Amino acid sequence: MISKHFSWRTAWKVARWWLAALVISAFFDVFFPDIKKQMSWGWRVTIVFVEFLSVLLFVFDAIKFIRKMDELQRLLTLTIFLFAVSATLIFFLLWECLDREKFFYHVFGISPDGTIGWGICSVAHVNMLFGGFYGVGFLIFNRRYK
Amino acid sequence: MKNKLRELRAAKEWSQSDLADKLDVSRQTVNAIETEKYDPSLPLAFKVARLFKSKIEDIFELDKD
Repeated sequence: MISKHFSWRTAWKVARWWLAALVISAFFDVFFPDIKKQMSWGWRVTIVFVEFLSVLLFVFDAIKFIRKMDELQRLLTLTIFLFAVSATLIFFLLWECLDREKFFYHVFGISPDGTIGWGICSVAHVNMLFGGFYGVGFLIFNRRYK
Repeated sequence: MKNKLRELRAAKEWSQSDLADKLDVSRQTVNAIETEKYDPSLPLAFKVARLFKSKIEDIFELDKD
């Protein structure tokens, strides 16, 4: 059961699946992609489903939490969510479009994984972006009501 | 929208947290209404009026402009 008022315990209950998706994806997609490459097709697909299931569970917990808020908190949180989702989508699309045109390769050279691609198409990257933009949105939109 | 929430709360010697608990909202919401940064919904305005045994129009007043 998610409590109505903010506490670190509540924050943990809402964000735990977001964090789980981030950790799993960071491990297999960012830090140790070779381990995933050596796995069978079945295991690789299972990892993808586990990552997205975690994201889905996070969304359900976030919706449950938002529904219990009072009207001002709900207005603020939905505004921040909309800001974070929009900013993440725009940043992600811009980055991927630029990467497709080899923009980052021309500017920075070879990527850290030794290829010419600088793609950020992983749950870990998107979750980090969302978390960052949520923090920025929180600072911007809560300022007026402090 | 102007309101007399701060005066009414002070008359009862309630803190913002006390009032927030009675209205089942957060202290942030009570503060935002008192400082006229946020206009409450109609159900919340009715709750406030009922709590102070007043009419909504005695507590909340629409700006003339």
